[in-house]
Amino acid sequence: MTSRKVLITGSFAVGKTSLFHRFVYNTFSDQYLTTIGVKVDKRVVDVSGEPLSLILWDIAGEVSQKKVPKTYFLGASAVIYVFDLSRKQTADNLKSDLKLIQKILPGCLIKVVGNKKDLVSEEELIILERTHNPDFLTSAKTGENVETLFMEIASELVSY
Amino acid sequence: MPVSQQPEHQSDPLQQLRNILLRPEQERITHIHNILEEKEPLAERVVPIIEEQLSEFEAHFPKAYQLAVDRLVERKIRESQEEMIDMLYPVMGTMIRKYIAQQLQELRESVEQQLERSFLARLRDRFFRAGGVREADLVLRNAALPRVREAYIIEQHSGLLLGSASTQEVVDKELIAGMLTAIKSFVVDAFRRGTTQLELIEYAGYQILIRDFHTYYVALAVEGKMTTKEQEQLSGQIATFVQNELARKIRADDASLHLHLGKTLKEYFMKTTPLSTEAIQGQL
Ligand SMILES: Nc1nc2c(ncn2[C@@H]2O[C@H](COP(=O)(O)OP(=O)(O)O)[C@@H](O)[C@H]2O)c(=O)[nH]1
Ligand SMILES: [Mg+2]
Repeated sequence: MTSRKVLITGSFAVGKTSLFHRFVYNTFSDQYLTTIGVKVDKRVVDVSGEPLSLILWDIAGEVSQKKVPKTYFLGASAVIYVFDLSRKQTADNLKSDLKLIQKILPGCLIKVVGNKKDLVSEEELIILERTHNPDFLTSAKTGENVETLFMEIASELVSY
Repeated sequence: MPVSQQPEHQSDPLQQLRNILLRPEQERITHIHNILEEKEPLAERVVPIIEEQLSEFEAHFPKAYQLAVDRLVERKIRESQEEMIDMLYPVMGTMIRKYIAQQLQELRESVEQQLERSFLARLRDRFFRAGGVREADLVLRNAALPRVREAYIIEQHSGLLLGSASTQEVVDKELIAGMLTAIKSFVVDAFRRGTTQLELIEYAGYQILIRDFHTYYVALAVEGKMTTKEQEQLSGQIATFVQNELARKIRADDASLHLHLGKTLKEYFMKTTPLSTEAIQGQL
């Protein structure tokens, strides 16, 4: 079976862990996240009849803080960058963070996700979309767009 | 030839003059003509020239083409660098280990020689003949011999599983491979000790022995506690395994590689009964 490492990153409390929880069946305790700064989960999805194993790395900390070691990024086929739609400042470092990720992982698939869609109004959404141009608007709380996000990444990874 | 002696050629005094003046030239032309017409004199003159040219060519050929050949080899190495390193790594590891083993062996022998010479030798003999400690030690250790329960070959960084085998049901091998890799990079990053790698993890009744290679690493979950000697022995087995079974192009998506590794890991690490029988025998 084909497997791909997918990594999620972004500022503190934007909903990274929640997004993974929505998508995977949890195997390991979240305790690992606080103790070693990373937790690995997995879900096997079907992409045009073929199983694809998504190995999901959730990391504590943020890219820009230089707290997250480069090693965690290495070998990833896709990176999900999450910011919180209800806290604009979580997108402040978006541009420089993406640049850093591209430098560490040249040619890697990157998806920018604005999460907590349920907390903002339609009007605010339009402005936020225009300023940050996210690939997906999700809500880990309601589950909106979460499955779509991962399935699109999966199918793009297969044809990558 | 005097002009007066040839009255009939009176009309040709010019020819006569020519004959007189140009005789040396004519003789030379005949000589040259002979050289060109006859093979041997020609060869005598030409062969040395050709030979000289040839040896010059021979002398300069490597210089002229070395650069091109070097570039070709260089490019080849660059293009398939990972592959080359993966092939060289285990060989180098084995060489180094052999060297160290030999050094240790020599040290041991010299220590033993010294013991032999000293009165301690007699003391030692008496001590061991009395049985006691050593035998008890052996019995105890036999009861809890370390066994390899799970074996993994994992891609560095991505943590993707390249192959595995186990003697028991395991949660999810892909997840274990990922977590092990995460823990491994955590340790490396957290302690930043240069090129130091995580080599042993202890967990409950298990020891996880980790050996790094260039693009992948090997992890063996061993039940029980290994002695340093047993760890060394297992490392040797890993090196042999890698050298025999992994000297090929390594791709995480290669299904035949997964199959091959699953089968061979079992053969190398799980068929044999207790790992330390040999180690203990070696000590006796
Ligand atoms: N309303 C709402 N809350 C969310 C959403 N996603 C996460 N949260 C909450 O935000 C907080 C931080 O989430 P968490 O997943 O731990 O963020 P992380 O630090 O990025 O991993 C938690 O209290 C979550 O319940 C969302 O889509 N909507
Ligand atoms: Mg989190």
